[in-house]
Amino acid sequence: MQNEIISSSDILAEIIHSNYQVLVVLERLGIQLGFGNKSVSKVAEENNIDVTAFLLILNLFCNKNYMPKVENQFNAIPDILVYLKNSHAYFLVDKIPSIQNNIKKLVHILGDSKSELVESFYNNYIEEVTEHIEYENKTVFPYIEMVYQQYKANPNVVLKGENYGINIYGEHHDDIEDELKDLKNILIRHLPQVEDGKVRRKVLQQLFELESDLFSHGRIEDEVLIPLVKNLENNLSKLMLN
Amino acid sequence: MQVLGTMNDNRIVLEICDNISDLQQSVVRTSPKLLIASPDVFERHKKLIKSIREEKSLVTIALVYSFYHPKMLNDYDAQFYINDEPEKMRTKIKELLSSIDDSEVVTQRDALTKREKEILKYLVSGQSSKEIGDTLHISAHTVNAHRKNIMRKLDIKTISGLTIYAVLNNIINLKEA
Repeated sequence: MQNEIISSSDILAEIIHSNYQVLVVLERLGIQLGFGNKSVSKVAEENNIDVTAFLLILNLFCNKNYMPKVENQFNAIPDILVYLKNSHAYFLVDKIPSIQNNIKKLVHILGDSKSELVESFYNNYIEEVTEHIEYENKTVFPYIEMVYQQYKANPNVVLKGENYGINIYGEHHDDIEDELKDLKNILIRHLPQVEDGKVRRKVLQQLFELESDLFSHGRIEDEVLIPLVKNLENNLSKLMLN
Repeated sequence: MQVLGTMNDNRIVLEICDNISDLQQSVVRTSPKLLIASPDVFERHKKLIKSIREEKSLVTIALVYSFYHPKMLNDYDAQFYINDEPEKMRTKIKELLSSIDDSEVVTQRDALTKREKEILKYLVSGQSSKEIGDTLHISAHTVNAHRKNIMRKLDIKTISGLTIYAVLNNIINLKEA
């Protein structure tokens, strides 16, 4: 399943068997386990989730090389937003603090003042991620919701504030990605060896998980959500001209 | 074009080129590591020299025999003055070539060379390539090549990550971090 495209008729349970990380996707979309042998589209329907949104998210989450096609699947926007918001909460409340705890333990085990730099490196990383996430939660997502509401209410309505477009979406996540990679490498290659390597291994596993989760998260934003909103903006302004 | 000789490590043939097309051919044929040229040549054939330098990672030295605006000398990795002692020139050449030899082992993740450690020290103190180059009397271009190699060898891209490496390996001490 790794490199195959997931389609609406695929059995959701089988998708989990081939990539158990998908469990977090279901959680973020509010899908409870226990759906028997139902297909992706059936589960989506029963949970009131737009199947297009569900498929885009599943494919981007499971397949690094998946190239999403973005046209005018505007009705996917609300569920994509739900997914992204819940991912944000998961990063901030769950994953990132849990890694922070383990890094604290690791620094304690290393018991050397130099290792504390690793902790402050990670704390600094948290600050940057948090800032980025809060900007999206407070500025970008509400704007998208507004545009979408306008489109739903009346596609002929003029967009308010012409200069206020999706271009407010800040640029990419490159720095944050580099920092995460560096931290992994410092843990793998450069920190001194310790007898008990369990905590270090745990931190690394969590960092790898966070990295791939953030990777697909960023792709959903950059390659699906933002282009969709751009298309929607163009549609609205075309209608405005007519 | 004239062959002047082979250096004792048996790898370098010196040639003299008195026009730009000879130079171009020679560079293609022999892939030299080092070019010593009049700043006039550079000024006149900026683009060509620049592309040769980037493609072949050629070290360039300006042979300064009259007054040149400092700006014109900035692009070189080093300068020779016409009245420099031969010994000084020899040392400089060796130093520059050894830095190039180091940077050629890019695929191996070896420990950092002495020069790279030196540059790392300045990098993590927040200095720009230009500033580091000025301190070490090499071009910003060379500093950048070193910087890339450092990052590739360590697989660390951010300055704060490099700082941790530098502290862990006693290249700088904790207070400097």
